[in-house]
Amino acid sequence: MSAAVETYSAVPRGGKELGLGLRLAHAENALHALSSGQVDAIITPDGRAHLLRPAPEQARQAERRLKAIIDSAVDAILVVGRSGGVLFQSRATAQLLGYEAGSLVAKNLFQLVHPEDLPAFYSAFFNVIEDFRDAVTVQFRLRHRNALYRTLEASMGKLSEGPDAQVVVICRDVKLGESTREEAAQKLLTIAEAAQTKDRFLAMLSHELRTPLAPVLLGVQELHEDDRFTDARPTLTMIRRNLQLQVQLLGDLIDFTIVGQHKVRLHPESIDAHQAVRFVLEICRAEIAEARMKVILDLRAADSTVLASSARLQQVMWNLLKNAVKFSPRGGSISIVSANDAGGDLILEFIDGGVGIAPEFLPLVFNAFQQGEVAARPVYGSFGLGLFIAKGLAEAQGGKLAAFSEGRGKGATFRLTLIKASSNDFAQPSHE
Amino acid sequence: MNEPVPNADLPKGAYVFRLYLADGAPNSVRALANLYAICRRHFPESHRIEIIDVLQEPLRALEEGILVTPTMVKVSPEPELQIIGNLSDEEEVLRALGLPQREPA
Repeated sequence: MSAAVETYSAVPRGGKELGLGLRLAHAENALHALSSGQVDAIITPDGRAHLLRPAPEQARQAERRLKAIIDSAVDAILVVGRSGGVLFQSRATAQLLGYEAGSLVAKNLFQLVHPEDLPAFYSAFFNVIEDFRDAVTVQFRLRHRNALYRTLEASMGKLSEGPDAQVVVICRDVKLGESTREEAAQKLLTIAEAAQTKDRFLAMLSHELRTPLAPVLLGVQELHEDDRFTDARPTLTMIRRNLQLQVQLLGDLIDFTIVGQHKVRLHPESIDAHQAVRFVLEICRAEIAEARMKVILDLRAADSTVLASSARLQQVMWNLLKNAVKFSPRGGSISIVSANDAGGDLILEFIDGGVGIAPEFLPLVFNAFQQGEVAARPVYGSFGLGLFIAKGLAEAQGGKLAAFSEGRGKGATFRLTLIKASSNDFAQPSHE
Repeated sequence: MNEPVPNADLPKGAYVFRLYLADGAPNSVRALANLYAICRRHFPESHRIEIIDVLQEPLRALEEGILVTPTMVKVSPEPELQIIGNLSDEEEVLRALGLPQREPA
């Protein structure tokens, strides 16, 4: 028994009219009993009896221990009533949510939960209260005292039943911490490195595959011209054509890896774009003729001198022209129109009446390996790299390349913008 | 709640206690149990315990100058004395009442 040795002292009653000394003695005894936990009701001068909650020493010890545990927890521990009122907050609440000791009590927790997260929070909370589940964990944003939301994870458990049901909400910070962010960055880096490795491998492979083709092509050419093999000429022609195609495909692959890595090194010079158009047309003449196509030139730009790399500009035009031929019906026509814009830059449009481009597909036409509406399907004897390379090369020269189409079956226009050649432009170091 | 036992039944010099308690509250229940035990041991033939539940009769407690429960008042024999607490330590209770602390047989 914890009652102290001096617990009980008998005090004379002294009749109804108590002297001051006796009154004090009674009061002292009452206080003594009170402090040793032996009182369970107090009678106040207004004639009412008030029940006290007993707090025996053992219970008080347990309470102290519990308080120490709660106060040393890093998680914020809250006791919340059914309607969201905070009844208790642990010490860590100040750290986590900015509410100093007791300042969250009597506030409504529901009002601090981010509105978007409230349904999930309610669901968890009432699952616990209504005993659908013993304990739940929920993630939500809670407004810190500084008005910013913090993402927390809370586990909830029911403390008491009934209309006054209370729920313990234990909140911790969901740390999208340094480690996680570093991991993500590392992963990205790894992906980027893998992509680079792949590009390097592709470039190397294309080179290795193309190199032995040159002497073979030369040999086939010689045989093709040799009169002793006139019978085999159609076969030799077929072999030569396929070899040339293969060389071209591999060239595209090499260019693709170079453009993809932004490694194009150009030596811009002042050149006549109209002349370049005619030159490219000459190169493609056989192909155009074979497709029975007509090319209409409308080169009306007053100033056709642009700043570009001659070989690369021809490559861009060549790709655009081949693209127009490829996607046009046999016997169709292609227009190449030039004009100067307000700033004097040259605009070259390659207009075809071919298959056109669906609006949803338009943003994708310059993607690598994209061809028609099914990606990475090598139809028309290419990889679908032509436009990707053309755009990359155009931009490497300071120009622009854009695609327009009214829709499927309504043809397409590719607009190449090239910067005008002037003394100022030569000084610009940005075009590499 | 009260156990009014007619005075006539009691021999002269019998112990009469009045216990002010809050019915059902732990210290009150303990105080009552302890008081019964003390009475049975020490004056089994000559005691009476009167119980006043302050939750039922707070005004009566106030009139008697009772501040808290449990409070035990020794009404007789004279002089009137009062002891506050749950009366758990029997020896102390006997000493406070000025009774010989003899062990029951």
